[in-house]
Amino acid sequence: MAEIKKEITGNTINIALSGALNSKSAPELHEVIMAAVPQVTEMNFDFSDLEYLTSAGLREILTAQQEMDDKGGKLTIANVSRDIMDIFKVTGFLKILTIV
Amino acid sequence: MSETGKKKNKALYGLRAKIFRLCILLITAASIGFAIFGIIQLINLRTLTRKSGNMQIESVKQESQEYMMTQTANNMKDVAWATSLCIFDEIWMIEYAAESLIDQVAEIIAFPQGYHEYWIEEPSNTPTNEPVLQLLMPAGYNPSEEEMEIVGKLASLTAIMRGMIQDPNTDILDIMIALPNGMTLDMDSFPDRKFKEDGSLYDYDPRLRSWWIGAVQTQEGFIGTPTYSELLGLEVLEYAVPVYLEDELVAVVESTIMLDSIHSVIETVRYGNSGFGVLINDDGRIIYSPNTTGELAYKIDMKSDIRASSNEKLKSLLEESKKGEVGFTDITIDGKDYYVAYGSKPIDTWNLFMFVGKEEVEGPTQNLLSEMDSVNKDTMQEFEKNYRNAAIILLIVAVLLVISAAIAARMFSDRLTGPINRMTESVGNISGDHFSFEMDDIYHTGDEIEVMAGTFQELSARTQKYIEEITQITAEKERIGTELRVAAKIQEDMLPKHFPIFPDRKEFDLYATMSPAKEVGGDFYDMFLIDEDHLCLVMGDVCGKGVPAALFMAISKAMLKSRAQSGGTPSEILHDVNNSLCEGNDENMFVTVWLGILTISTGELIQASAGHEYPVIKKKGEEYKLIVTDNDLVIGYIKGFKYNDLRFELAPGDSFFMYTDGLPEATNAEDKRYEIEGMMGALNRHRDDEPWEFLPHIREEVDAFVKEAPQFDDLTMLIIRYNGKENAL
Repeated sequence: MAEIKKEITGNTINIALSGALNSKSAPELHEVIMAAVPQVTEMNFDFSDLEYLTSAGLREILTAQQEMDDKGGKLTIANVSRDIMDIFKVTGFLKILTIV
Repeated sequence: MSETGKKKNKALYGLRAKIFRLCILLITAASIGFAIFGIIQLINLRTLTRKSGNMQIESVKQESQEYMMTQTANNMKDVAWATSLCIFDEIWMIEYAAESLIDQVAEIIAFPQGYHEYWIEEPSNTPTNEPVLQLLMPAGYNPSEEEMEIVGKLASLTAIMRGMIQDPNTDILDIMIALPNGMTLDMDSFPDRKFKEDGSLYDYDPRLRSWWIGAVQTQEGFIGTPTYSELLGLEVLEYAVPVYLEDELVAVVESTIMLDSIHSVIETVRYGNSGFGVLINDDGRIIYSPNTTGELAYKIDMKSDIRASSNEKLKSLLEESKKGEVGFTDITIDGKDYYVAYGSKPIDTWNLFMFVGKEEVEGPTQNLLSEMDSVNKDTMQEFEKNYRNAAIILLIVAVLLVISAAIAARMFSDRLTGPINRMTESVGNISGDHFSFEMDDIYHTGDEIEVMAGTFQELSARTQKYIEEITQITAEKERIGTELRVAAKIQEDMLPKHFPIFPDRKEFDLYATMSPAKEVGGDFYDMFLIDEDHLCLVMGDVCGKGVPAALFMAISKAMLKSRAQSGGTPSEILHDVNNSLCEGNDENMFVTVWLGILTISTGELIQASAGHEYPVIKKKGEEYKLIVTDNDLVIGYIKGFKYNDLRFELAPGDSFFMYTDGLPEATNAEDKRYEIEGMMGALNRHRDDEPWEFLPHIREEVDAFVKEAPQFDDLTMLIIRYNGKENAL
């Protein structure tokens, strides 16, 4: 199970994920994102402790990216592991995400 | 329904029967206890009565025996004493007769001058009716004148002496006044018996007689030993008393009575029927006994001597009596049991024994006892009869108790279980259509049954409501389930699955397979000829599962096919389809798509990948190799996204393998994923397989890895081996 740590500073939210982001944990992340969207323009993910990511997880990342795009905001993902980077590569996400 | 009804009815009477049995058990136990208690009491009473009866008999026996013994002893002692008195009286008469003469005899001898001289004759040989005075002398004795004068003067006592014998109150036979010179004055009625047969007189010397010797020796009154008097021809008892004048013996006065007098005294004394007296002197001689034979046989002249007897008890009793001991005891004489009173002495040397048969003494006691016994027996019989009656009545009462208790218990249990039975029936009838339990008057019992009925009513109402709800939900679920199954079937039917799909095209061997993880999967593949020389291959994976994913998949697949058939490169096709799917995709669903178009004649394969897995290619004779491509973004997300084509050249014998993430991400029970490495290993282990057997073998490998773990994701695989135009024929 994924553990979600969030921290809102002004219009920025920092979300640290750990464990596996899959169809079980995705709804929780969805809630966090949708709750934060009205008040932030910058969303920073920390994937240091994220071990695995499924398509359900990808969908939530996409949703967050789209919301930020719609608001003219910004989304970054930091500390992406090699495995997850591979997933981003395969799925073409690498082409739209800002990996820092 | 009817069968269960019967079963229920069977069980229905269980409680009633139990209560009934319990009541019966209690009452029966109580009744039996009551009966047993009663019978035990009766038995105790009977035992007690019997015991007390026996004790009574015993005590009466003992008491009466003791009483009889005491009475007998006292009576016999009294009788013996009285008899002794009578005997003494007889003896006293001769004593008195003799004693009353001695003073006068002494007076006459001392002062003869004061008395007249009377003529005294010798006995005459003629019978006489009255006593006569006779002069007896020793044979050949010649009396002097003086002596004759004294005798003549003593004869003046004739009248007194005669009077004594004639006294009807006495049994005196004779009275003698014997002088030391042997001359004797004899008064009796038997002068004729003093003659021998030849007519001469018997010699008579008193000094030789035992009474003379006894009296002179003792110098006082002497009772002789009973003897047979030859003179008189009968047994007699003599008494003699010496007469002294200035210490000089001057005469001995003697008187005689028949022993019969003593005998008749004892004889007339009776004690009961068997009582008798026996007189024995200190020498053991039997003076009197009514018996003529046996141990106490009387023999004339006292020839019976009990000291010679073998009856030790008798001998010891004589010794006791001689010592002056008075007593009462039992004794056996001639084999017969007697009681004997001893110790009574009429005179010093005589011992009177009073015998009485034991049988006679104990007879009354025995009679009394047997009478008591019979009375007791009668009482016991009466008691036994009453006892039996009481026991029978007791049993009848117990039986009646049990019967009435049975009826009462039956009524009680019916009343108690009636409502329960009715309730059980009602509850038993609850089923299917009929599902209500109605409150009824019979349940208003005011106890737990009423509460239970109320609970049942509430329960049945609630259950009815639940069942209605559940029926609705179930129907809904059923409907959805059915729809899902239909959808899955439709989806499955949408995928081509009859291989070889293009049997006429020998330029390539093409196989594909899809195993859904859930009822409705998100994976799909497609293959169709755009024209004679162009084969379009599609594989996709919709993000998510279930009905929404299936719908999205169906739309994607249809759009892709439709757009591909309109011509254009894979990138153009994906670009257009992406734009269409982005329209109204509010759910942010997406699909990865790999689309390749094979130019059948040349082996050129152009592909575009919208976020799909990397392709795997095997050159003829070589191993499978993963081709890491520069993938574009998944479809359905960013409208207007630019996709890119990638070109491969397939030579005859080359194979191209495509799959979905369900293959590398297959996960086993240890949570380990198959990964690309596992997949590549499996592919190369089967690199020489024919295309038609290749996919099933890969599937087996995956199954061997996953084992029991459930399949999380759809698993889709596609293999195409290019044969080339030349090898096609």
